[in-house]
Amino acid sequence: MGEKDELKRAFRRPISRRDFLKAAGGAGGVIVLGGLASACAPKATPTPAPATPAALVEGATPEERALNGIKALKAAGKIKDGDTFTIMHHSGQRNNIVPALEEWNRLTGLNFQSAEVGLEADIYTKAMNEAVVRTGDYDIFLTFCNWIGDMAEAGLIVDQTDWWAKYDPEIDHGANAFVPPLDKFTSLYKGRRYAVGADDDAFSLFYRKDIMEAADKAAFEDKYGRELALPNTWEEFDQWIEFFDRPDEGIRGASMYAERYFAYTAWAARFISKGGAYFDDNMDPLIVSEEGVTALEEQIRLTQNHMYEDAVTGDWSVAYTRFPEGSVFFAWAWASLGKWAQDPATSKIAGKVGYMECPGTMHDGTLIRAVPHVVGWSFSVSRYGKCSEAAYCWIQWFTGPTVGLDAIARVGTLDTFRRPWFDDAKMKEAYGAEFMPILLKLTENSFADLGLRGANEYLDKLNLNLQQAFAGQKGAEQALRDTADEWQKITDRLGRLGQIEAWRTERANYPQHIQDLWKKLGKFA
Amino acid sequence: MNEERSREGRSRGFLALIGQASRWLGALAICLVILLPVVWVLSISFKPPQEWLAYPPTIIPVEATGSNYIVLFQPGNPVGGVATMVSSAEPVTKALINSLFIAPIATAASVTIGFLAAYAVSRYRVGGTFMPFFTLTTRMFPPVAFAVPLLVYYRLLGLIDTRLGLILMYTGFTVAFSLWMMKGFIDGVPRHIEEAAVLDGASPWRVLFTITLPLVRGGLAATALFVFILNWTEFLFALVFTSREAITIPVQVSHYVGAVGRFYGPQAALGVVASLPVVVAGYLIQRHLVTGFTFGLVRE
Amino acid sequence: MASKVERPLVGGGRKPAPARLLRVLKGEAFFRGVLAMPMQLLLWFLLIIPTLIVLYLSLVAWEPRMGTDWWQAPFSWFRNYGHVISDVRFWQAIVRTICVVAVAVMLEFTIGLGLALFFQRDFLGKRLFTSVILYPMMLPWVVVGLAFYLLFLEKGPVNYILIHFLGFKAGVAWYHYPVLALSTIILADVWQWTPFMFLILYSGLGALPRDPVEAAMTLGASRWQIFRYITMPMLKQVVIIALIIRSLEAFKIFDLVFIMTGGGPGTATESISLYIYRLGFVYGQLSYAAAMAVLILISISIITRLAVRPLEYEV
Repeated sequence: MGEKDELKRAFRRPISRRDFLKAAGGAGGVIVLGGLASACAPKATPTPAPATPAALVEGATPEERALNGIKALKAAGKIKDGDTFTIMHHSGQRNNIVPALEEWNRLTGLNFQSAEVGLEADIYTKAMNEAVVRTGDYDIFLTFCNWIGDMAEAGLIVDQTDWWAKYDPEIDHGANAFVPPLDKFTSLYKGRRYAVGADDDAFSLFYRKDIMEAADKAAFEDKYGRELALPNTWEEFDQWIEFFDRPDEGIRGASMYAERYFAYTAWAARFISKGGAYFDDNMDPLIVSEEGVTALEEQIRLTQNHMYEDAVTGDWSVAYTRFPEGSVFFAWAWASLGKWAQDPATSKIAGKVGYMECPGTMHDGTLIRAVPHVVGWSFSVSRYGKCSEAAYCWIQWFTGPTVGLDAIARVGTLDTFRRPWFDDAKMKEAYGAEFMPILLKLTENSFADLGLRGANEYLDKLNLNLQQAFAGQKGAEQALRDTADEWQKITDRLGRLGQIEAWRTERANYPQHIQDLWKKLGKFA
Repeated sequence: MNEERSREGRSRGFLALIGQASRWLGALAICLVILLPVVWVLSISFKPPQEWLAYPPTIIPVEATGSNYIVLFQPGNPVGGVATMVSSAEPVTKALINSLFIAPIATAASVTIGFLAAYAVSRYRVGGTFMPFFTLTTRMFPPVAFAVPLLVYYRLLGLIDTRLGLILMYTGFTVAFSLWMMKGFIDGVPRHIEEAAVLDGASPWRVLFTITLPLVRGGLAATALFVFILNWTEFLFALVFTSREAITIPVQVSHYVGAVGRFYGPQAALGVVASLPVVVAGYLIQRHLVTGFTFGLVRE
Repeated sequence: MASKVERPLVGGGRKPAPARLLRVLKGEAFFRGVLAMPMQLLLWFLLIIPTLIVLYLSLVAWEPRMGTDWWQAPFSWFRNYGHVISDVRFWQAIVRTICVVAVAVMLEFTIGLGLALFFQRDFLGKRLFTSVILYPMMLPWVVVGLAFYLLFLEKGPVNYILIHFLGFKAGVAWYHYPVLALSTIILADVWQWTPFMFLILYSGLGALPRDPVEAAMTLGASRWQIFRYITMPMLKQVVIIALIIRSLEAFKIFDLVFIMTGGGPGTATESISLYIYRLGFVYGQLSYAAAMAVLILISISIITRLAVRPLEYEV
């Protein structure tokens, strides 16, 4: 009986305590081992740039130089046939990328493969996770261009500046160059190149040509005292939308984003064109200014009076439904909306789509336009991949003037970005011949999303408050003030000095006419 | 007396029939209400892209098409015949196979381990009150906060993007669920049945498997179904811990987005396809759901 | 504390003879030891290190974008916890989530119980109907979220029905107003998880012994009395566990909120899980998120501990 009692007691209560101590001890041991193992893993500190920049690689075109680079790497033994490289990208680009991979693999004997991710936010998550665990599963990332600040600071992506010098992708100079300022803000962070842009996401503006042509011009003149024409200023734009807002006929005035992820686009367009800037050179927010508050008030009025409710609570595909089905007069979104709306298979208004430039603000007789460039995919190279230089060669090849043209012409979320492509027949056919010159102008006037370290957080807090303002939960000034408070907290947490440095280089990526405007208004020394 | 009884019997029989019929109608009404969103999902899965968000909405598609389903298995096949929409580069077969491999194994492991542990907790108070409660903390913790630490750990173990890794994780995170559900059912089995068996000379293992297990079959079946559903539809960890090889169905569903937003059609179609194995499992377990003491086990 | 009640051994009076391995293996002591071993091993193996990492993270100030490795992060001790407690958005999310859980679980329980009772009797095609009732649970949550999101769009089927069949003048902007948006989320959750309650209660009811019920019926008790005084008490174990488990799961509600409203407008429908997700994966503040999760864990543990009490003293 005693024996059994002992056994009983032994097995009953102390299991938890004894187990705990054993496990804690074991765990402690494993942690130490784990720490040692991780200490041997690649470090996060950036590797120093090579001492002497290499001479320019041979080859007449960027694609040729890239292929020659691969040959040289193979000869040097850094890579060999059959090596696998993985590209992480969004599902929307599979049609742009995957066919090109087959050709590249054929040309180089390597095995480049694609790993797609469905939700955009998940790309950021997986990239930042890779920065922490460094599995080496990914060699190339295709991400929003304003994430490269985070990725660079996390030590995830490699500084490509010297490779640009060595291989010359012809991005910022020459006949094949990207449309400026596209080359700048899709690749630069703190003055160094960390990514290659592969997209043009300047917002494009579309309206119903047929409705405007059939409009009662006299009524418009009576009401607004000017002729009916495409608006050039935001004030004219608001009147124009008001005029064409006809709820009784089932057509609302506009479809512009006011929702959780893109509410800032319309406000930013007005704000920047009024001469506003996100921060001053001390990283103090400049958004609670007259420019910021007026911009927001104007947009709130427009949203609450002349748009469908789902502009506020829908998602980004709302514009892609409302406009092609014919229930809004005006919509703005990415250039792909143009393609979508002109295709008779997907749109009820094919052939009735008009294109226009983005309205701006008058400053002493000069019209300053500011077009939001939203998202914009760009390629960066992982530090923990197999061979960063080989990965870069692929990027240069894929975005080259010839290969890139084919890739972009295929339907996907990537849009045209090199200057000569805007005149190309294939592109004109895909987008519409009238649209290309306008897209060009829009791109030249475009400014990028905030791209500092912590960009996601800055933008999310901004969107949060803006959406609340659009939904009527907050006043305009209150929303901007709350945002500014949050932004200050973020800046302090991330280190003001580092952010100041990043912002100074970032505002140099804005189009020249906006920088001139800032100078004229006395912002920034 | 007999006449009265038989008249009563007849009216009771008639009432019973009415009861049956009204019960049937009631069930039908309930099912129709429940089915509305399901009908909507089915409807979308047969609609071409321009009808996904069309207004006024229609239940029967204007131009019904099976291409949403075809595109799941033969990508590169333009969705709805629309050339501007091209769907996923990978067919869903990989995700289907992975899910069909991972979920049942993880479920079986979880339910077995949980059942055994539940018996120990219920009958022998193993671990006292601390241990079973401690396991419940795995269900309390928001999984998001756990993802990155677990990722670091998995990196050490080399289990990222592997099926084994997912199985291990799913088993670990659902075993508390199995434990607590089974504990409830085992608690409901009166001890004296087991004690009677022991007095007859059965070993504890015998008692467990031949006496208790059949009595809690219903609970076991229900638990297995739930755990299976949890594993089958789990998204967050599947997303974070897989990249190419071990993709499961929920992750695959999230891939159906494109240049103009989410492809509601293929997502709905995949949802329907993905629910079929679960439906089959659910139908099969119904047999076991009603257990009871009408089997003559207990001799008073 | 473990119950110290000495109960008669179920093993009769046999003593395991140490020399005979088989006897030991069949013996009760081994049996007891081995039963819970697999679970213990699994949990310790899987969870101990990540848990320690989470605790560690909550005590440091670290974000991946700072460029330092996580084991090199500077200690900030309890500052993260202090921030959590003073974070208004955190408290709003907690209160909001609790409200959603309370309403949703109550609805799920009531409807599930009603259905389970309703399905106790046999009728034509019961198996089929049961399968239909169980179906909502079986769809992947992505699809459920999408379905409900599309249903409640301003130009969606629900508004269409409201306008054309119920005489509303215009559609309701469901996602625009916090209360309405939360209601749609609750509705989606109830729709998806009532089958869970139904199944548990159904199998629980089915496993109950019939004798007490039949005895009471012959004694002339009414249906309601039988239900209230006999069925429910016997069902208590299962009910409490079902409520606890479902509440714990509902508290973590994330998927539906993410798909249907994204937490919007603003943070009006942001559940606590969604907030932690934003903190961890969008803002990259992994240590802050860890501290928040630990605080939540501790609070829920305490509450659940209290809720579990009634189960401990059951035989």
